Amino acid sequence: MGVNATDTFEEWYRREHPRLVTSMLLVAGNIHLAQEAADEAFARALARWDRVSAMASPNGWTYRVALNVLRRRGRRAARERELLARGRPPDEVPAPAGEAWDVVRRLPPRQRTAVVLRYVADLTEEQVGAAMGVSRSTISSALADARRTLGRMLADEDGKLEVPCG
Amino acid sequence: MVDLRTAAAQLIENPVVPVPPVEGVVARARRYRAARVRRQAGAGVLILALAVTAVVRAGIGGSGPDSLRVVGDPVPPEERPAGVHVDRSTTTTPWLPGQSPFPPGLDGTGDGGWDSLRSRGPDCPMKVDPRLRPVTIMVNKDARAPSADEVEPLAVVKSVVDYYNFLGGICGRAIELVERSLLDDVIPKRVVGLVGTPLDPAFDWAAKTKLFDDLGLPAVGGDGLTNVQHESRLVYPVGTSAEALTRIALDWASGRGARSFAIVYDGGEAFSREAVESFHRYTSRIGGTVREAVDVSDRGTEVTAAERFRAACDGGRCDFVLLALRSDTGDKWLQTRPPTARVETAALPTLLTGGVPESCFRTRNERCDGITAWTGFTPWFRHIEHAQDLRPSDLDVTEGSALTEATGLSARVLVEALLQAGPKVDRKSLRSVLETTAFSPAPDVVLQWGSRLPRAGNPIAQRWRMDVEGTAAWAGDAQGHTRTHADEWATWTGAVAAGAQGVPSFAEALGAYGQGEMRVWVTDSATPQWKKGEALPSPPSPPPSPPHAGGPPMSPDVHSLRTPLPDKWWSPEGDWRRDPGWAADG
Repeated sequence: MGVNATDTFEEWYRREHPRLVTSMLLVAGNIHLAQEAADEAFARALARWDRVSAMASPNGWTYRVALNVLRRRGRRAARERELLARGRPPDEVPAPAGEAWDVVRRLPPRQRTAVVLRYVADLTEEQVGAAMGVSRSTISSALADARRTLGRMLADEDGKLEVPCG
Repeated sequence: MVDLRTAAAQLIENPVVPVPPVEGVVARARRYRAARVRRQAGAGVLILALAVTAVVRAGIGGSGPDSLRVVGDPVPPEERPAGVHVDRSTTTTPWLPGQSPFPPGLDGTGDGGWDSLRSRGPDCPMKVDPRLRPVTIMVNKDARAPSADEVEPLAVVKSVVDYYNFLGGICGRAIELVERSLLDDVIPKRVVGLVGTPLDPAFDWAAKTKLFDDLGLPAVGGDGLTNVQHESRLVYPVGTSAEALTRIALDWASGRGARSFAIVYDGGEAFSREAVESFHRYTSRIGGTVREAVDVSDRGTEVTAAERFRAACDGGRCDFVLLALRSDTGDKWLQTRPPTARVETAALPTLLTGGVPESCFRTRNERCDGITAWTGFTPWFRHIEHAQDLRPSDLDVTEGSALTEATGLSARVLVEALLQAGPKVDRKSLRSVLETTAFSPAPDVVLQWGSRLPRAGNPIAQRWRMDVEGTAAWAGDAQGHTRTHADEWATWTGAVAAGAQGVPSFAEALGAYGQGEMRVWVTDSATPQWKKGEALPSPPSPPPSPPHAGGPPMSPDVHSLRTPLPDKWWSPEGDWRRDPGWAADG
């Protein structure tokens, strides 16, 4: 999914905002960081809309910017929490899908980010690789590892996971 | 069962937060643009203000070495800070005003070829004029430097820029160095060139996504390790690719009887992945046996990786091992005391830092002894004191870090190209110079790109070896230079530089990267210009060996054919490696 030929920035923004915020929330586990990253990414995309809209993967570019913002702000937030001796804020994830995302959150950061960008952001493996700054083969490996890690069962190609009950 | 896609769709349909009005994004984008404009305007005002201040201060007695100095700010000689030094002897020689900072052979007065400074015409001022608009070059703000020991790119580039501004900039125009984010920022139109910094994924991303091509912005350097840097029309790498270095190292080892091979790599690093691919291809080609290939990035399996490696290579079962790791990862790997290879354990230039031998020595890690590292460029910056935050002061930049030196060389090449292009340089004229000029950072070493792809501007490699010693000697470097240190350190010793006999082979190697199209080049110390089609000159005779200057005996593996420097010793035996990958099959 990218920018359609007739899209204005507003149309693209309204369509992609929920997906971007949700993805960043799942990666970072903090709604404020996720919103900040999304807002910054969209603002920068608007600032250079002519170029971004013409890219092969504007979504990939935007997710890349958002991940960078997340990384920078996340480091700062972590330091602030350390200084203030506060614990990690609770994750804020909608309850209905909590089970799956509880499991995904236990993944190592790279695998978690790859899974979120692949299934929530709905990027192709190549776009995920571009957003994360790694090759497509690394993403394929990361997703395969994620399935194994989560899998105490195998994942089929549609990304279905069996989460054991109890 | 939970369907991840269905769960994702549910999340999207029930967003965590409502979509904010687009007006907020518009306002934020406006603020973002305004902040950028203010930064640019502020920088210009600051430079102007400080230039005026420096001129005023010069008139009333000088600002002193601790004052803030902006790149491009003219500095009277008596105020020149302890900036760039070049080692010429066993003691650091201060760079005195008016004295050439280059060692003999690199100052354009003899062999060496860095003669652009002399080639600026008589009308070209040799002093920066603050009334002239600066020439702007850029480094990537996002460049990561995970450990100061591994790379200090910005400091090195600043040192180079300061140095050339001290010598008059680009015909009186100061060189302005700006930092911008390749990922996030709009690159100002006034930026004419970029210095690539090592181990910078944003640089690779920009090369891969054709950002430099879109902007017509020449980018010199990067570490040269990843293939994408050699495949972009606007990138001019000074380093040799990890793929080529791997082939060279394997070729060297197989020539010494190695038949079983292993590699330790990091699947999270692009250069490392390309090294392991090259490793498999080339071992297959030479008929070697791959005993093991371990990926240290395999989380949760770190112990398993070391155990697997031990099982495969213990007891000398691996003839040759390649470490395609960064310095911090490589250091951790070496601390696991892995079995040593029978012929050699070699590393890519990422391991060639001061911190790795220090760590080896302090932990008395005998497994480090004899490890070699291959690097694709001759270090030229022997000892520099870098400016932190533009304040000229103190500290040594990491010596012996191959990536630091690559960055210095990249900056140097870019600025030399600016000088060649002249005071009216722009992106197009800079690119033209880079495409048509051969740069010689040292005798018999040539960097040249031309219009072919891949741009293997530097297809050679040199080999350094680490000796873990318990003495107070620091033995040798690329110039065969010696000095002593009070600390007890493990040392990187020796180098293999391109030999005079290699001149025809350079052409062959360069021609190989043109896919069989032979190119010849002419270079001399006065005008390092490449003239396509001209006959190759006779290779220069190697200079005579000077008498041994004392110090610990040199290993027979140490070779150098550089212009003699004081207190230098060398072995007359010449050796160099070029990338064997170009040789046609059959």
